[in-house]
Order: sequence, then C-alpha cells, then structure tokens
Amino acid sequence: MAPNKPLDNDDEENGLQAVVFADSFNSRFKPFTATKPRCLLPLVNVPMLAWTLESLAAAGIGHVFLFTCTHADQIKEWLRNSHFSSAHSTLTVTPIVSTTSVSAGDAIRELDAKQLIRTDFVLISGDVVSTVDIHRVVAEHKERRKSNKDAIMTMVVKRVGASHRLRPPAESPVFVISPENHQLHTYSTIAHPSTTKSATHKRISIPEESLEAGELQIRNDLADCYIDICAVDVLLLFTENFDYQDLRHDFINGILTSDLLGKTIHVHAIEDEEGGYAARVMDSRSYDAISQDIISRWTYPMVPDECMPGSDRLLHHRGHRYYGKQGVDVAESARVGVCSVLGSHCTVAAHSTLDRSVLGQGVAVGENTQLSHSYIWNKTSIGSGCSIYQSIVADGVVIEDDVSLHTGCFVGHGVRLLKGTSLPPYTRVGSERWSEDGVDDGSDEEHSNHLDKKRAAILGPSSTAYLWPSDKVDMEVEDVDSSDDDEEAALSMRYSRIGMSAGTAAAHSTSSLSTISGGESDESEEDDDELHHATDNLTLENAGKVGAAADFAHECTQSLERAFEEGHTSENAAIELKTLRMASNVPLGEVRKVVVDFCLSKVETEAGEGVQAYKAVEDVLGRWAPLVVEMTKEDQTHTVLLAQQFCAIHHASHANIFLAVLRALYEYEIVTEDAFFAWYKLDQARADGGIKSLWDKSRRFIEALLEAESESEESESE
Amino acid sequence: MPEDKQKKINQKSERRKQKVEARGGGEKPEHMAQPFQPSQPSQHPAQSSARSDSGSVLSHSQALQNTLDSPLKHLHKAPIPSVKPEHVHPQISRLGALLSNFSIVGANARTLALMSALKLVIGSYNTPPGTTLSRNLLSVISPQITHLESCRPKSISNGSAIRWLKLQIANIDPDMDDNDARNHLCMLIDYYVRDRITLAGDEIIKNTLTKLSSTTHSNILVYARSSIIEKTLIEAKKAGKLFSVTLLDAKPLNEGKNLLSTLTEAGIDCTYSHLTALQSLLPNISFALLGAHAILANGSLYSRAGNASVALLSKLHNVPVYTLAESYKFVDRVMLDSITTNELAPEAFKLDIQGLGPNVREESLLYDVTPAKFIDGVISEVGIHPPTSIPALMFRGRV
Amino acid sequence: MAIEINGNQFRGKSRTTLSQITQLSDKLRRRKIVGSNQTALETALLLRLVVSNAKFSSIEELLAIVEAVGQSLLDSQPKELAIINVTRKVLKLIREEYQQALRASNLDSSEPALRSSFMTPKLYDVGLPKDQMNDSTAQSSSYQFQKSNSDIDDFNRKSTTVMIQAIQEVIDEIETTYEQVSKNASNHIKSTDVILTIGKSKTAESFIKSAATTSGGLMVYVAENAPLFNGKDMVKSLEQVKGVKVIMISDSTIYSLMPRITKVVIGTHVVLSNGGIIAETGTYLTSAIAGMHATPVICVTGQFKITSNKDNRESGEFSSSDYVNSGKMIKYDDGRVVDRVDVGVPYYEYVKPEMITVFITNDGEYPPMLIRRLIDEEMSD
Repeated sequence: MAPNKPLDNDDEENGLQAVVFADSFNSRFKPFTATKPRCLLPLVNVPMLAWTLESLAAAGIGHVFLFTCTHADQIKEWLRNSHFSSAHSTLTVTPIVSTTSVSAGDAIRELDAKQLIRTDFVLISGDVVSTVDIHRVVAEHKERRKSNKDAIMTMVVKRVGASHRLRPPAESPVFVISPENHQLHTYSTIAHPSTTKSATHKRISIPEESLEAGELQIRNDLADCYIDICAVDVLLLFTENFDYQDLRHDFINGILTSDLLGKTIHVHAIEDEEGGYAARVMDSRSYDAISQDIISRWTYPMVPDECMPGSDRLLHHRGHRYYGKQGVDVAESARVGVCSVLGSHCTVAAHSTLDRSVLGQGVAVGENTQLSHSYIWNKTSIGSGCSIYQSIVADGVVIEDDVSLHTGCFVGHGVRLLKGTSLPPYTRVGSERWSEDGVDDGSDEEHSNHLDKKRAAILGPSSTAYLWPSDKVDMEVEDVDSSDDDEEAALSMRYSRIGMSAGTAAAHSTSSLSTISGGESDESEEDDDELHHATDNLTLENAGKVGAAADFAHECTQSLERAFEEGHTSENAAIELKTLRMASNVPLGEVRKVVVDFCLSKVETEAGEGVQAYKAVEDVLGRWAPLVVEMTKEDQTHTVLLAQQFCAIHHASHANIFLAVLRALYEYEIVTEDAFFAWYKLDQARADGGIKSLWDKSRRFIEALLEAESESEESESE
Repeated sequence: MPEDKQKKINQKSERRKQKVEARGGGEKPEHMAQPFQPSQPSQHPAQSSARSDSGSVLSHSQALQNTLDSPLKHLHKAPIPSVKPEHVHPQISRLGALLSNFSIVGANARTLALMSALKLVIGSYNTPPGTTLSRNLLSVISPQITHLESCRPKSISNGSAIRWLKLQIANIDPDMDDNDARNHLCMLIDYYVRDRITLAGDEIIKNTLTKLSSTTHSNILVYARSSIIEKTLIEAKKAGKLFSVTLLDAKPLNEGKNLLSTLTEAGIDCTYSHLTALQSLLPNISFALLGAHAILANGSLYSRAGNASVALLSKLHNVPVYTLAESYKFVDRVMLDSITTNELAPEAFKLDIQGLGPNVREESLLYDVTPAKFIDGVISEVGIHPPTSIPALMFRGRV
Repeated sequence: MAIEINGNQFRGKSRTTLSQITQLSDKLRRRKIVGSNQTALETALLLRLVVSNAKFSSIEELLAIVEAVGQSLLDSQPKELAIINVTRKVLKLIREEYQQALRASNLDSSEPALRSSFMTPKLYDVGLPKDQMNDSTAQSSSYQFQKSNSDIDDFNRKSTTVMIQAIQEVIDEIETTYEQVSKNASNHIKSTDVILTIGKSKTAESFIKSAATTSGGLMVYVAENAPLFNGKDMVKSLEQVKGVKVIMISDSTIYSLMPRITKVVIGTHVVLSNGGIIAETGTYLTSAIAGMHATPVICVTGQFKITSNKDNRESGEFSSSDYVNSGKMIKYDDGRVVDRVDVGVPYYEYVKPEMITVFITNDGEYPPMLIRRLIDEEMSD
C-alpha cells in the first residue's frame, strides 16, 4: 500500500518539541473526570492521551512536555507504564505538574516561567487524534518565519462538510483567511441558524483593516484541529497578557484585534485526504464522531487494530467490526451491527443487539439487550432486557436488568443502576454526591432535599448512586464566547452533547432517471428544514435589511435622543445621522422615517387642537427644522406621507396635531407646496382607515395653500 | 405458376422483414460504433467523478496513428459529419448537447428525453403542400436522429423506440388532418412511454419485491446506477422490506456515487466499495441486481461495463444474479463479444494520463456483454424468466 | 520458546540493538514501512545486527533470541507475513551453519577454528541430495559437546561470523530479486504477446520490462486498479522501454478486453503454502476473468514471499485484507454520506491456487501445487 513519507529519525538538531495539555480545563465529561483525568478516558478502548502521543511519535516529534493539572499522579503512573517511557521510544515525554493552573493560559504562563522551551514548538491538546504530517506543517511555519518574524502561530484546520458529524452546530468556527499567505484575519464562532434566535450569533464582523488584504476567503467549512505550531514568542505573549485564559477566544482574538503587537496568525488547512486526519475530542459529541471515524478507518493507520503496545489486540472483521483476540463470546442469536468494537473477554448473550457501539475489555452483556451508538468501558456488566442508546458508561459499572438509558446519558465509574431504572435523556449519574468544586458544603438544605427526591424518583430509593446535574455543570465552560448570555452557553452545550443534532435532514427525493445527474451532492444544499426557513429571506437584496435596518433605527434614535437632550445644533445632529446612515448602508427612506417619527414623537400632544397644538409642534419642528430639512429634502412628498402614517398609527395622541404638523412643515419650509399637492394626490395618502380621515382633514389646509398660491401669483402678476 | 409462387415468397419475406424490423432486428449497426468527438469543451455537472482532460495534446490524426493496432480501433473513428443546423430542431439540438456532455445517461433517461423531444418536433410540424404527413414527417425526423447520433451513438433502446415511432407515423391515415395527426402521434408517444417504461417499471418493481422479505434480511449487490433499480430499492424500503445494499462503483463514469446519495437519503443501509473489492464482499451477499441497456437475442446482457465482471464473480460464489429490464430493451441482435459494438468513454471521463509520453494512451469502454449463463433471471414486466427464454417471448409476439 | 528481549542478551552496544528493534517495530506498526520487499529487507538487516551482537552460550539461546525478535516484529504488524518468512529462513540458516561448523570442528578436535573445510551450504539448492538433508537434521538433537566453556564461547563467536555471512546472502537475495526473476522473462513473453497487468508491482514491472527489452517491443494493458489507482505509476515506468505500447484501462474494461489478451502478469504480497496468494485487491477479479477466457496467469514473486505460516489463511481471513484509509473511496467531508454509509477499502485479497498458472520466482518456476514441496525443502519446521 502507499507508504507514508519515510521518517527521518536522525533529525537531532531540529529535535521537534511539543507541548501537550493533558488537561482540558473544562468539565464536559463529568462525572468521569471526577476520578480520572480526561486524557486517560478511553477512546475506542485506548486512552486519548495514547492516541495523541502516538500521533506525535508517528509524525516524528522527538520530545513532549506533558502538562498536567488534575489527577497528575494518575497520568504520571500511566506514562511510566506505557511504551513511551521505554528507553528506546523515539518520543521522550516529560511530565510537568502544575497545581495552580485553571486554564490553558495559566498553563502556558507556567511553561514560560520554567523556561524549558527554546524553539518553535507544537502545541496540542491531549485528546487529539491525528495523522497529519506535522513536520511538513512545521517546515511551512519555519519558512514563513524566515521572512516574517511576526508570524507567531500556525493553526491546523481540517475541511469538513456542512452537515458533517464533526461540526459543532451551536458554535462552528468561521475563519477569514487571505488565500495567498494563509493569514488569518478574523476568528469567530457562529451558531447554526436553527439553534439560536439571536441575530448576533448568526453574524460575524470583519475589521476594516482586513479588507485591505485584497482577496479574502470566509470559511465556515473548517474544523479546528487544536494543533498549533507556535513560535517561542507565544509563551511571552501569554505572560505579558495575564488575562488571556483561552487559546482561541482570548489569545487569537487578542492577537488579531491588537494593532500594537502586529503579530500574525496563519492557518494550515487540510483540504483532502492527502493531508491526513486531525480532530479533537472536545465534548461527547465529538467523542462519538471521532470514535466512529477511527472505527471506519478514516484515521488510517491509527486504527483500532493497530496493535499499540499495551493495548488490547483487536481483529478486524467485515463491516468494520473489531473483536478482541481472546475470549470474545457472542451468542449465536445475538447480532453485532457494523462499526462495532468488542474488546477481549467480552460476552454478549442471546438475542442482544449491538449497533455502532464500543465495548471495552471484559464487558458482559445480558440477553435481549439493545445497545446502540453507545460506549461501554472496561469490566462493566449489563443485565438483560436493557436498552442503552447514545450513552457513555464507564468502568466497573453494574447495570441490572430492565434498565434503559436514553440519549446522552453518562454513567460514572463504579455506579450500580438498579433493576428497572430508566434514565431520562441527558442524565448523568456518578457514584459520589456531586457538589460544585467537590466540596460538600451542605448549606442549601432545601435544594439538596429536592435533589434527593429527584434522585429517588429516577434512580430508586435504595440506590447508592447520585445524580449529577447536566445543565449546571455544563455551564462552567470557557470555550464558549464569554460575552454570551447564559442561554447561549446552555444551547451550545446542549448541542455539544452526544446524540444532539441540529434538526433532521429533509428526505429529498432527488432521484432522476438520468444515471449521472444525481440530485444534489453539492454541500451547500440545504438539508435542514429549519435552516431553509431561516435563510429563506436571506437573498442578496434583503441582506442589507435583515438585522441592519432594525439596528440602524435603534442607533439613529439613540443619536437623536442624545442630540435633543444635550441640545446639539441641527448641523451636528445632521452630520451624525449622515455618518450613521453611511455606516449602516440604509436607504434614505429609512432615515427619513426615523427622523420624522422621532420628531413627531417628541411633540407634546396634550396640548389639544388649535393654537396650542401648533405651539407644541413648533417647539420641536421649529427647533430642529434644519435637521429635518437636511434629512428629508430628497423626497418631501414621502416626508408628508410618513408624518401622516405616524399620526394615523398614533391616532390617539397625534391625530389632532396633524394639521398643525402640516402647517409647521410648510412654515419652516421643510416641504414645498408642490410637494404637498403631490402628496395630496397620492393613493397612499388616501388609504383606508386613519389615513383617510387625516387626508380629509387636511383638505382645508390644501385649499388654503391653493388660495395662497393664487394670491401670490396675482400679486406677482400685478 | 412460378411467378405467383415467387410473388408469394416475396410477400412472405416482405412481411417477415417488416416483423423483424418492428422488433428491432434489421437495422444496420454501423452507426453504433462511432463515437462523437464533441466540438464544445465538455463541462460536466457531475461532481467529483468528472475530470477535465488537459493532458492530451495529440491531434486527432496522431491519436489515430496510435490506435492502429488496438482492438478498439474501430471505436476511434473520426466523427461523422453532422447535419446542417437549419434541419435540426432546437429541442433536438439541445438534447444533443445534453447527450454529448453526458448530462443524460442511461437507457430509460435517454429514451424519455428522446421521446419528449420528438413530441415537440412533431408538435411544431406542418405538412408542406403536395405531400402527406406519413411520408414527409419521416424525412423531417431522420435528420434529427442523425444529428443526435453525431452527438452520441444511438442507444439500442432508442433504436427500438424510433423504429416503433416510424411505424406509427407510416401508419397514419393520409386523410387525417395535420392537427389530429399530431395529437394522435403525441398521444401514442405518451402511451408508449407510459406503457413500456413507467408502467413496465412498476410491474418490474412488483416482481422484484417478491425476492425480498420483511422478516429475513437480504443483502443486495448493486453496481453503478440503474434508474429502475434505484426506484425498486426505494419502493422496497417504503414497503418495509428488510434489506441492505452493497453498492459497487467503477470508472470511467463513477455513477454509483449518485445512487449512493439517493439511497442514503431514503434511509437505506449501504456499503460502498469498488468493483475490485467485490470478492471480499460476496460471501455476505444474498443476490445481485444488474441494470440493463439491452437484452440480446441469445439472452446475453448488454449493459454498463463492469456488470459482466460482477456476474462472473457472483456465479463463482453461487450468488444469484438478476437483471431488471423493461421489455422495450429486448432486441433481436446477437453480439459475439464486448468489443465490436461498444462506446469509448468521452473526454470528460477519460482516465488520467497526464504527463505521460506518446507511447501511452488510455481506453475505457462504457459497455460490456454478459453471457446468459451468468444470469439467473431477467425481471421484466412480463415476469421473471431465465435469459434464454427472452427471445422465445419476443418471437411469439408477446413483447 | 517465547522469551523476553532485554539488554542482557546483547553485548556491547545493547542499547543500539534494542532501540533498533523498537524502532523497526514502531515503523512497521505506523505503516512507515510497507510491502513485502521492504519489510523483508529491514527484517533481515535487523536480524543480522541481532545475531552479530547477541550473547549466547548455547545455540538454543541464540535461536530463542532470534525467534523472539521476529515474533515481536510480527506482533507489531501481523499483516506483513514477510517477517515470518525471513525469520524462519534465518533460523534455518543458523542451525545449518552451526551444524556445519560443528561437524568441521568435531572432525578436527584440536582447534575450534573454522577452516576452509567449512562449506557454506547452498541456500536454495533445491536439488540437494536427500542424504545431506537428513544429515543435518540428525545432528540437530545433539548441540552439547565436550568442550571447555571458553572454547565454546570462542567457537560461538567465530561461528557467528559465518552466520552473518549467511544472513547477508539472504539480504543479497532479497535485493537482487527483481533481476533474478526477470532473467528468463523472454522465455515466456514474445513481442507478439499482449500482456495485461494490474496496479503496480515492482516485480511484475521488471519482468515485463525485461521481456520487452529482449523482444524489442510489446503491447501492455495496465488496469488502473481502484481505489489506489497505482496503475498510473506502472504505466509511467513501463513507457520508458523502447518499443513498448502501454494502454491504461479502467477495471470495468478488463472483461471486455480479455479475449484479446494473451497473458496476464501479476505480482503478489504473499504466497501461501497451498499455492494460493494474498495479493493486491483486484487480482482476484482479473484472475477470474482470465480463467474464464483460459488466459494464463503468471505470478512473479521473490521466494521470500513464500510463507509457511500455519494460520488458516486459505479461508481468506478478513484481517489479512488490511483495510486502508476509507478516504480513498469517499471524501471525508461529504458529511451526509459519511455518517450513514459503510465504506470498506481492502488492500489485499486471497486468490485461489487454481487461478494461478505458474509462479516465476528468483530461483525457478513452479506451478502452484509444488509450492508446498518447495516450502518443505527450503524452510525450517
């Protein structure tokens, strides 16, 4: 078969270094991570850290600094027993323990303090699976550094399709890149339209400076691999900016938006198979996706039967089924579906079915049990008549008979689920009581009573396990844009869970008789009803209006408020409005509407009819006449119409002053007679309802105008 | 008297000739073998399987030189001169363009497209004075067909349909006025399409579903893409049959990919692999379904290149092979091997020989002939028969 | 006789030896070394190093060490059966050479030094008389003999030199496989032949090139062989020979053209003891079609590919198919499809012995039914 490029093991002078974060600094995998470090959780029966270290070793990295915080001793223990510690491993791993870091930023600052790293290094998370030729990316990076000392980081990203299972629907990253030098201009996350109502999460903003770059690619089809090639400067930057916590949101956005530093970030995009595979297990959703990828051999040669030293030997069978080499016993009537893994010494009893699931070593499955899209770790036993769907079950768990786990459940280490338990979707169960920060303060009596009741209801009164809340725990995440509402965070967390999908794909009947022109296979085709609706009005023409118009009105009103209150001059106010208008690119009609509406709303309407009414109007329109003139001079007829409409809408308060308004408009030369006449003739001015009555009322005014005109003509002709 | 006898014999042979022609046997096959070199650059809409040919800089004569010793020499012939544009109806011209850049591929699709285009031609036809519709229309239609042939060699199913149409035209009562005649012909075409393709398709689906069960799981082997097989599988899924599909694909056309997306949309479990991987998949297969371009007089199957390999290997592993074919695809011809009548892959689908020298060329065929012995059953609207029974069905005038 | 490999078994630069073993294991596991030829070569080189650095007091110890090394390599990559072949061959050589040395020194009891009376036995002398074979096996039981310890060590060290020479011959054999196989190509292929080959096999390539050069011209069809499409590489190297006309065809066209093909030439990954082969996917298809048309199928291979592995490979055990990157079939980013479709890209497949007409190896031509005999004669038990 086609070999990978040959390794050059003797590359001593450029001994490539890598920093691996064994701690992800979030708690998406609680309760599993309460007792075990996240990076040692098994991914297709091999600890995640092992995949990462293998990826690095295969890519030719020589030395790794393994940064550990929580459960550091477990990691060190594992490391000591792994083949990476053998004297002849090509990869040397140095664990660094830190007790004080709570974020990636802290970790990097500590690294910098230790002064261990002198050259460009690879920064990677301890839960990444990759077959990328990192050497090549590093070479690219170094090449770039030669000519541009400010290129401090290269991110590795992989192209995935729009509806790909690896994409987090709630916060998919958007990269704005300039194609010739792969420089990153903007990084932001955007939510799938069906998952959020908020307009701000459907749009990104691009700074003006980037537009000078000439050609820009705006890409939403790239998945972040969390493999970064960093220059040594990165460490320094973190130390200098000690509020940088998160690599992506803080650091990258910080660098990109800071002009002073002038540093640039670049992107290495893997467009197709040749470039390799790279993905990070960020949450249970990606855990599921990456497990399936490994099983389906997209990550070749990092596949389950790869025979990693110290791991279970698996044999590959038809349909991507993997069986442990020893002691696997599957009953005759049991059915093992495609893409499944059964570790050594597993037993599956009669009439049970396994579908796209992974069993660790020594797992016993009872009769008539259905397992689907689930991940069961070592030495767990599952009783008869159970149904487990899209869930993760940890080591040493005993699940008794007739238990059902619905979507997205996590069952922690050593838990015993009693007979007949039915866990509602997204339930987490741990063997110890949950408390924030692990400290049981016992302060909130009522709350814990409530929890106990819930626990008894779901787990059964004699249960020794505890419910762990999924929402609260999920909330404390730092990977989400921190300016979000709580609602947003919850939403994105929800979508980051296993089993959650952003709407179901509409079943298109795309069959045509012609054998080659087959329906849609273009990725941009909508495959989601909700998405379709959401983007229905999003044509090029409407693009300016959606959201922008509403925002402009708001901004404009605010500006006018300020002007009124602070007593600005008309000219200044006009200038401000004009700038606003240009920035928002709103049509003139909008501006006029806002101005007219605002002015009219400012009129004191209590005054009643007649002279007082006119006085009230005069106060406003008179004072601000130049402004109004300036903003409305292009189309005066429209202005009158707008006034009419406003008065009609605010019938109760403004119907009486309409005449006064007309008069004021005339007196202050905001609107000419001709415009009035033109308005009077408009159909819209005569529309039914309130408008018509106002139109009727204005008859006198028009007549008066006519008289005035003929008088002045007469006087002229005299 | 000998003259009478002679006359009788002549009449008999005339009648026989007509019968044979009606069944589609008498036509000369020479046009079959000529590929068209499309004059416009082929911009193919099909996705990842398309490939623009930028490597070959050989002129046509040079290429011809290269092929002198090839067994496929006769397929490399120079293009036949096309018909003058003023004789070609715009719809036909459009259809020709679609055919030559392979936007419309597959026997049923091409027949349907041809029939609908001819309907439009007939619809805009007016008999010039001094001649009858039944004679003149034929002379209008012939250049259309010739033009289409210059875009892409005529498909065998097209041949049957055209022969049928010509017969209908010839039988038009000369007294019928133009309007009625046109309507009548269009109606006949509609019936033909409805009966021989649509309804036939439904019958075939019904017959095929008897091979599937709702309680026992079957694994069906499918190769490339056949419109009738696609419909059958989707209907089977709707009818609640229990099955999964193993789909094989191969160059030059890579049609299987499109079938794959259609089937996955319909929620069918699919395994997708390449023709070369067939052996590893066969132990798991219940039976194979092959599409057909034509069923020959000796029961052989003329279909997309690769089907013969599938049938051969299936036979070696005792996997039953069925082919789905509407009866209008039955023809009264025999092909002795897969080369004499065939078609070379068009420009857009040629294999990639970029950067290679003048001693290298590529050849890919679009069709092959599967011997009857590899096929266990032909599923058509008249039922499921062994392939060798097909000519008997035809001779008895059942189809 | 599975023992653990550790530093004590090697003298001097033990770290180097151990690290070399680990490195080769890792390379095999991570698929940096792929293919029988490369694997066999690397294994032989490593075993040579092992033998030259090993510390052993009896021949059994050395054999145990070599076997352990071979086993550990195989464990890291069970699909490369060439490892077993080379290991077994080396084991057999060690025994043979040791026996020879023993006999030579026994005859002359004063000096354990090895003299010219020591004959390096011909490795691949198929026609070796039966009695000589029996001779060495008869001696195999008595390794121990009455000599002082220092003499034994001295003797061991010196016999090591000869063993290394023998292993070197194995290495040479592997390296010269291509030339040896192609030597008599023109006996089988003439200029009027029309050859079909699939994918890329270096052995087949040199075979065809040799035939073409001798006959001054040849027409060759090369099937692309999905999904790796390495047919193009084959075409690229074949077209350089003067007078060769190369035509690339798709896999679906093979059937149509087979009646015009006179001979099929294929390479292989492994040759099994029953005469069947494990070869690149696509070979079975071609062989079946050739069989139907009574076209002879020539399998060209080096003898190091012949394995006597007792595993039941004849049943076409799935694992040996070595499924590679699914990305070769479908693009990973075709999201909708990736999720719901099972994609399998097997790299190897099993071809029955009845489908092969002849094996042309670097040392002779054999019909499939004689492979078992060949194994019995060549390899150790």
